[in-house]
Amino acid sequence: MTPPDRDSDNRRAQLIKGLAEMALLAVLRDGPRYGLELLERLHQDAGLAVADGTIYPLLHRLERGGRIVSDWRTETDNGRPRKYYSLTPSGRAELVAMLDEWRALRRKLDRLTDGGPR
Amino acid sequence: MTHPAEIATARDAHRLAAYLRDLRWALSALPASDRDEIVAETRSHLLDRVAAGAALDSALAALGDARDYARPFVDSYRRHAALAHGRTREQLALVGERIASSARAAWTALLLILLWAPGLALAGTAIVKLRHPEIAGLWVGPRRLFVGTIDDPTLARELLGFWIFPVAVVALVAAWILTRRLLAAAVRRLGAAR
Repeated sequence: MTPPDRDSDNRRAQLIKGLAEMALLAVLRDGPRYGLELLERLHQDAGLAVADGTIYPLLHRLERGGRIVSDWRTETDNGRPRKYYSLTPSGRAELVAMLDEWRALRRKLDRLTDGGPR
Repeated sequence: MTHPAEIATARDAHRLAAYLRDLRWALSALPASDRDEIVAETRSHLLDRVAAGAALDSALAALGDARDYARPFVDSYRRHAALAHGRTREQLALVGERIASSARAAWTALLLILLWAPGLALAGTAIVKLRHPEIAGLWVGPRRLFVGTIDDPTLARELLGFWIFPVAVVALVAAWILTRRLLAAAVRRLGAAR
């Protein structure tokens, strides 16, 4: 792999990581979810192919930062406990701030790429 | 040997146990409660993947090597602990490890060197001044200003005299305070970038 390819991969990975964090908090806005459920929602609904090995460290970091909390629940489908994550008030506030930033950035990029009025 | 209903073969049960054992080992820097939680959640994830029809090998491959998978957990814990307890040595180690891969870490290291250079030069010169007061100090000559010793004291004028002692202490204390702030900010930003 040539260095420009690697740079491009790194940029893409960083961008997806930031977007994944926002999308993950947005999914949790609807209610508690466990890791695999979050992965599938991100993949199916947002087209974000977050790696299995990436989501759990991200959840761990968000939990350590107080954005989300977790609890183990035993579901009826298989009787095994799963770790469910929910938004905290701080996570909800962070999501609102991230969405504001994202919308402002998207508007500017749309104007730039579509050549519309500034 | 008994194993979860989702795991159909003894080979898979063995592979799962081996992966979780490697993961536990790779997470040994974490407190036991965190380690147990991560291992339990990883096990739950793998069993869910297999229950949904995936082969255990592909579910393991998707997580990656246990050591690589463990690394971000460990890094995050070390950053958090270094910040929460204000441990300068740990913060310095984290910045040091990232010098080659992070411009922020490299700039922080450079700034730290610049921060400590005057204080250390003054302190070293002050120690020499205890034994050789006539040749050690802060000198201003025809072309330059420097801290240290001089062979011929008639060629330059010494500015501080024995004030070099308190000035050195102030410079070192200031460097220490700024180091603490700079390191904490750098470690916080290094964490945000991951």
